[in-house]
Parts: sequence; structure tokens; C-alpha cells
Amino acid sequence: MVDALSLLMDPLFIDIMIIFGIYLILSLSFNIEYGFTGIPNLGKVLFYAVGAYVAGGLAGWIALRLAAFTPQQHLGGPLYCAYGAPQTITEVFKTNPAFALGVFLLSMVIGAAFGAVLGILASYPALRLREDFLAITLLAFSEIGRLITRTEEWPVCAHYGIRGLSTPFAWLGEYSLTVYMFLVLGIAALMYMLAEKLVNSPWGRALKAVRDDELAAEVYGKNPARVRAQAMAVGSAMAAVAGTLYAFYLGSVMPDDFMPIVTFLAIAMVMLGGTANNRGVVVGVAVLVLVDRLFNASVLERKFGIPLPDYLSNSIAYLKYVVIGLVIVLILMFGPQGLIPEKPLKTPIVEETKKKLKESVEGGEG
Amino acid sequence: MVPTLAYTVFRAIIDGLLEGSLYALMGFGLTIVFRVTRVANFAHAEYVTYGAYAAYVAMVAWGLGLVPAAIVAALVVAGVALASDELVFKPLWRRGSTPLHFLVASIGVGLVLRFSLQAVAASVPGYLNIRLPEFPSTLAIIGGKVAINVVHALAPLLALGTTAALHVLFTRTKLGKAMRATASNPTLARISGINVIMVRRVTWIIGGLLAGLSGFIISYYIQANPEVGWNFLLWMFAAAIAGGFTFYGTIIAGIILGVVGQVAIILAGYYLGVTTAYKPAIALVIMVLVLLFRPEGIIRIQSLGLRRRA
Amino acid sequence: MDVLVAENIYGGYGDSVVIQGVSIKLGKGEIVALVGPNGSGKSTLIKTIYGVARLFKGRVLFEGQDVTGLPPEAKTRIGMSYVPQTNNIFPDLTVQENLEMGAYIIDDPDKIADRMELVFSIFPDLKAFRDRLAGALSGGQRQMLAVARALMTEPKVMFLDEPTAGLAPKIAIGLLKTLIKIREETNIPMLLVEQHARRALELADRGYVLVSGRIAVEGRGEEILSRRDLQELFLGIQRR
Repeated sequence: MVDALSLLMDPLFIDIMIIFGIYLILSLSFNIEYGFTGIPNLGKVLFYAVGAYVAGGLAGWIALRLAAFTPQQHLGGPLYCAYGAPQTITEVFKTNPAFALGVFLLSMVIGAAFGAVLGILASYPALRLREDFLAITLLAFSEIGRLITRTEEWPVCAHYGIRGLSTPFAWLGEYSLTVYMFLVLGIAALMYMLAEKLVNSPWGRALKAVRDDELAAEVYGKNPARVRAQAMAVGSAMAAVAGTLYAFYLGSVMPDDFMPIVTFLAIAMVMLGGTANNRGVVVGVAVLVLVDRLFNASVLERKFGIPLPDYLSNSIAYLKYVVIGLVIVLILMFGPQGLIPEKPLKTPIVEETKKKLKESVEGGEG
Repeated sequence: MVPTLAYTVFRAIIDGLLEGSLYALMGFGLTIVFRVTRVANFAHAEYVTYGAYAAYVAMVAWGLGLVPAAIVAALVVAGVALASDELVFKPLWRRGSTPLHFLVASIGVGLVLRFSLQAVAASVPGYLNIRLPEFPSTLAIIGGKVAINVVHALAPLLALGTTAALHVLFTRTKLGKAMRATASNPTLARISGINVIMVRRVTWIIGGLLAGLSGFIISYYIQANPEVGWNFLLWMFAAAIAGGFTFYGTIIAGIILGVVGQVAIILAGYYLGVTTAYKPAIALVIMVLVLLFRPEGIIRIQSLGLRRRA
Repeated sequence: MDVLVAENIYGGYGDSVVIQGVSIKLGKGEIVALVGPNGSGKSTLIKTIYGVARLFKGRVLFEGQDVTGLPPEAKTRIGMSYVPQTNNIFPDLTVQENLEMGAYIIDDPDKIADRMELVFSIFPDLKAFRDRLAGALSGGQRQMLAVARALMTEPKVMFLDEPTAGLAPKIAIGLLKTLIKIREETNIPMLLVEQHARRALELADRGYVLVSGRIAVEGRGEEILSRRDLQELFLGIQRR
């Protein structure tokens, strides 16, 4: 019992669980777009960032209003970029439970809404481009987004970032992170159930139909453009939720936390687990979050007492990305199904339509 | 008295030509590999980084001169490029993977290359930021303000020389024509008895050689770190995309992109107060606009017969 | 002796068997037409024999030699030449370069030059356009180029998959007449898939009528043409 309690208070354990929850949501959202609908959203991290920035901006702005904060020195940008603002924001989190919980909920809702709208906008190229060019375009979108957040004081404080956030349970003192961990895992579980429900619904079958055979889907009465936009909306809203959770966990939102490598990590997780299989994604995320967190010199040395030679302690943080790269390559080469393959899903009408189409195509070639 | 802005713009053009030549060399490798093998190769960025480091190792650790170091860089990277095809892309192609799979795999290959170099560089002192021990000498100083050095001449000359050599290869030799044929219609190339495996190898080697030379120039002119190639990635894609993935189109688009990027950001800063931090946005925006509104590219060189097929 | 014998061929794509036990043969200097309604598997048969589509069962003999498992490029090297129905030229290469690539397996430049002269004498239009991009040619010229490209390898047999598809009737007939001319000059036997049955059978020495992946009728061209029960096919009325 004592052990279980100390585990629940253990920073590394909490960290792993929270990151697991966040990446699970992010990977599930990538799976909806890529796995089920066939949209290679290499700009995933952009939507994740949107959630984080919405959270940072809202929390900062409201907290400073509540504290009637007036900066001594304000060089530009919104109030929360000013010197002294982060400390004040943290203070409000610690002393005002209603604010902390309220702004958390508000950020989730508004973040998800922003994500969804942006997702629909970004789905525009998905109608016109071939898969590989679409991937590059979406990656470019996310880099343009990062460039803007790095440079602009309005509304994101440029490279300084939005700081001083805390978990919505900061007022609980030392239990804050533990309770937040349960919240994140709970939300991740909800998202999992939502994703499962969605992909097994008629809508989910429409996604797969669009992925597998656009023509057949069209015959079947689905507008591929609309289906793709819907998938992007749902996926991006989920990614934004993950970003919100991340901002409240980390306490700061900085442009360089949203590099394409985050997207690549989510890709590796989905591919490892099994594309178009949510159960597989859970496994993939679990494995790679462990890799991500344990390939860390200070964790290995201080926490587990594993001595590392100098060259390893300097380089181990990079080696984890080598592992992630290898996972992507090896899965594609040797087991494109991932650890848990996609469940075959038969939709009678689609199958029949596909068969008919195929026949007529072959007939034409005769 | 020539106004300062004129000098600034002149400087931007000179620098832009240098950068544009690099985009052209890198973008060309991307294009040729894409056309022959359908791999939109994200790892191409890392080849550039490897070129920079190979040149550095050749000079610092092996004590070679500048020219041998450039050759080492080109050869090492050709080897790395060939290896990535033999080990990853060719097996995937044999399995019948889609272009999207190639792209995702190339991200994986890129991560492995970039971060294994990063890991080594982090554990060897002095390797996280490198610059070749020989600095480019100044050729001329124009108006007492704009210094032109060896690299400003070297990069465009290299781009020109490469273009000329490739032109001969593609229009005069059987191998070069076979490469174009394979790019144009891979199935028919196979049916015609063209050794598509050999064509493939030569393609990766050429792409690698050019990326290696680009990396050499970067570590000679500015400096390099394990992420230097990655920072060029979207520029080289922009060049290839604007050139409609045609061989000559990419080279011309790359050079134009370099000059336009430099000049535009200087002028935008002068007149609109836009910070130079937005320079990469020029490449990104051009790329996205071209893809969305003219996916066949804006600079297509049809008369040379290297048109991209619809 | 027959140049090409295909015995009991089962072929198709993926898991679907389209061709169900077809045997055909091609004698020296013979033009043989493969006709049949839409979806009967004419193209699939030729692709299966050449190795482009999947062969499930059966045997292919070329000049008495078993070539069943050979990949297409190896078949090209031993003198079998194939003109695909679509994507049958290199659009980004000039006409002359297309022909050079057709002769890729020939190393002797004099031989290539001779071959090109022959091809240009058969297709004078191509000579006029030799430096033009193949992608810029008209439909009829493209098909000529496709046939010409296949001729460059000095083939001992040619497979033509609907060379007249999509061409205006006049141009199509012109192209078919050229095939006769090729046979007169080179004596290469040809296996010709043709949508327009009457046209093909009038030209061919022999014909096979393929229905649902099986051979329904075979015989000399005019023999098949005279059969009353097949009139629908010749009029272009197709029953599924």
C-alpha cells in the first residue's frame, strides 16, 4: 500500500503516465486521419500547438485580470508576456480553485473548437493533392505556424512563450500532479472510447470507404471532400485537447516545443501499434513513451542507478530519436500492419459497389 | 554616392545566388530521385549534413586539403544515399509500397541519420558546431561595402558545371537517356530491357554527390551543425516543387528562390518592417501556393524534354 | 514450327482468375487476331503470356524454349516485344530517343542506325517529328511510335495490345495496314488484340474469339467472319 502511494507521488511515474495520456490522444487523432481516412497529416503538431496556445493565452489573460496585474515593465505583446506576469499567473492558479478548474474546462472547449475550425481549413488541400504532396503541404503549414509563434509577440509572446501556467489542481499543493495525472488518463480514456465509437459508426465506415476507394465511396453516396474535412475536424480538435493538457502540465507554451518531431513521434506510435487500430495505438504509445522518457541520462543514473559512460550520457537523448526512426523504417519494411493488425471490416454495400465498379473497369479494358 | 539600400540589395543578390545554387544542387537530387523512384525523400536533408561533416572530418582528422575534402564529402554522401536505397527504399519498392510509404520511411531514415550523427557529435568535443579550418578568401570588395568571397563564385559555378555535366549525361549518353526514360515511364523502361536497378543506383549516387557538395559548401562558407540540412529541407522541396519536378526547372527555380528569398526579405524589412526571421516562410508559402494552384510547377522546361507528366 | 505456343493458360490479377485455360499458338510470319466482347480477357491474356499480369497455371513456349516464368524484360531480350495498350511511349523523350530506348538492348550503334532507318521507312511521319517530344504527338502518331519502339529490338514476335484504341477509324485502319507492311518487310509474327473484330479479322491470317476468359471460336479470319452466330460481335453489339 505504501509502495502504491509512493508510486502515485513519484514524479517519473506521473510524468510517464501524463505523457502517455497526452500522446495517446494525439496518436488516436492521427490514426483517425491517417489510419482510417488516409490523410497523412504531417502537420499534426500545428493543431496540438493550437490547443496549447489557447490554453496559455486564456489562462494568462484571465489570471492577470483576476489579479489586477499591472506590469512594471511591458515591452510589447499581450499582458501575459510582461515581466512578472508568469509569477502572478502561477499565484492565481495556487490560490483560486474556481479559476484553475474553470479556465481548464474553458480552454478544452475553446481549444477544441479552434482546432476543429483550423482542421477544416487545412482540409482544403486534402481535396486536391496527391498523398505525398499533401503530407509535405501540411508539414509546411505546421512550420509556418511555428515560425509565426516564434516571431510574433501578439498573441503568443514569440520565443519567450507563455509561462506561469499550472495544473488545474495547483491549489492542492503536493497532490496537484497526481490528481492531474488521473484527470489526463480519464480524458484519454474518454477520447479512446470516443474514437472507438466513431470509427465503428457508419461515419467510421465512410472514412474507410474514402480511404480505400474514393470512387466507391462516392457511388455509395458519401462526399469524399466532406468526409475528409470531418475527419480533419475531429482529429484536429482531439489534437488540440492533447495540446491543452500538455500546456497545463508543463506550465509553459514555447514555440520550439512544437517541432515536426512531435508529429513524427505520433506517426511512429501509430505505425508501431498498428495503423487503423485504436487498440494497437495504445500499445504503440505505451512502448514509445517509455522509450521517450527512459532514454534520459539523469533518469537512468539518478533514478535507477544505472551508470552511463560519458559518451552515452551525452548522446542518449538523441539515440531515442534514432530508435524512433528505426521503428518507422522497420515497421514499414517488415510488418506494415504493426503489432496489432487492422480488424477487417466488411460493409456490404461498399463491398458490392466496389465489386461492380471493378467489373465495369475490367470490362472497359477487355 | 550610391544609396545604402542599393548596396544592401546587391549584397542580397550575391548571397541569394549562393543560396540559390545550394537549393538548386539539393533540389536537383530530390527531383531526380523522386522522378526515378517516386521517393519524396525527407532524408535528402540529412545527406547535406553528412556532406558538411564528412568534409570537416577529412580536413581536421585526416589532414586533407580543401579539394580532397570536397571529394570525400561527395563520395561519402553518395555512399550514404545509395545505402539508404539499398537497405530501405528498394526493398520497400519490391514490396509494392506506395509513394506515401516511401515518404514516411524517408522520415524514419532521416531521423536515424540525423540523430545518430547528433549523438556522435554530442559525445565528441568540438563537433556540435563545425566550420572548415580554411576560410574562404575574399575576391573583391565592391563599393567598400559588399565583400565577395570564393564561395560566392564557387557555388554558382558548381551549380552551372553540374547542370552542364548533367545535360551531357541526359542528352548524349545511353545511361542518361535511360534515366530519363525510367523517370518518364518506369514500366515501359523495364519492358524495353533497361536495367532499372542500375538506373536506380546511379540516380541515388548522383543525388548523393550533389548533396555532399552542398554540405561541403555550407561548412566552408558558414558553419554546420547536425541540424543544418534539416533547415534546408523545405527550401529544397520548394525548389523541386516550383520546378514541377523537372530536372532543369528545379535548378532554375532553386536559384530564383535563393535570390528572391534574400531580396524579398531585405525589402520587406526595409519597407514593411518584417523581420528576417520570416525568411523561411517565403519558401513555405511559395511551396504551398504552387502545390495548391499550380501543382505542375511554375518553371517547367518542356523544350528539353524533361517535363513532368500529368 | 510454331514461334509461340501458350498452353492451358490461367491468368489474371491479384486473386481473380480472368483467363481460364486458354491455348493459342502463333506460326512463322503469321498475324493472329484476338477478338471478343468487352471484358472477355483479351488484354489480360496477352499480358499473362508476356508476364505483366499474373500467371496462375500454364506454359509458354517461345521457339520451342520454355519461357513461362521469365519476367517481361527477359522476354524482351530474347526477342519477344510488347506494345502496351496505354502508357506505351516515353512522353518526356523525343521521338528519336524513344526509338533509341526501344533499342536499349542492342549495343552496336550501326545496327541501331539501320533499325531506325527501317522504322522511319515504315513510319515516315515519325521521321519528320524525330526531334519532337513524344508527349506532344497526336494520338495516332503516339500509337505509331509505340509500335515503332517495339520494332527497334529486332523482335522475333510482337504482341500488340489494342494499338488502335481511341483512334479515329481512318487512322486506325491506316495503322493496321502498316502492320501488314511491317510483316511484309520483316516477316515478324504478331499477336494482335483488337476491339474492332471485323477490322482485325479481315487483316489477320487467323483469329481467336475470346468469351469470358475462354476461347469460343478459332479459325481463319474469313471463316470466323462468315459465321452467322457471331454477327453481333462484328457489328459491335455486345452482350454481357
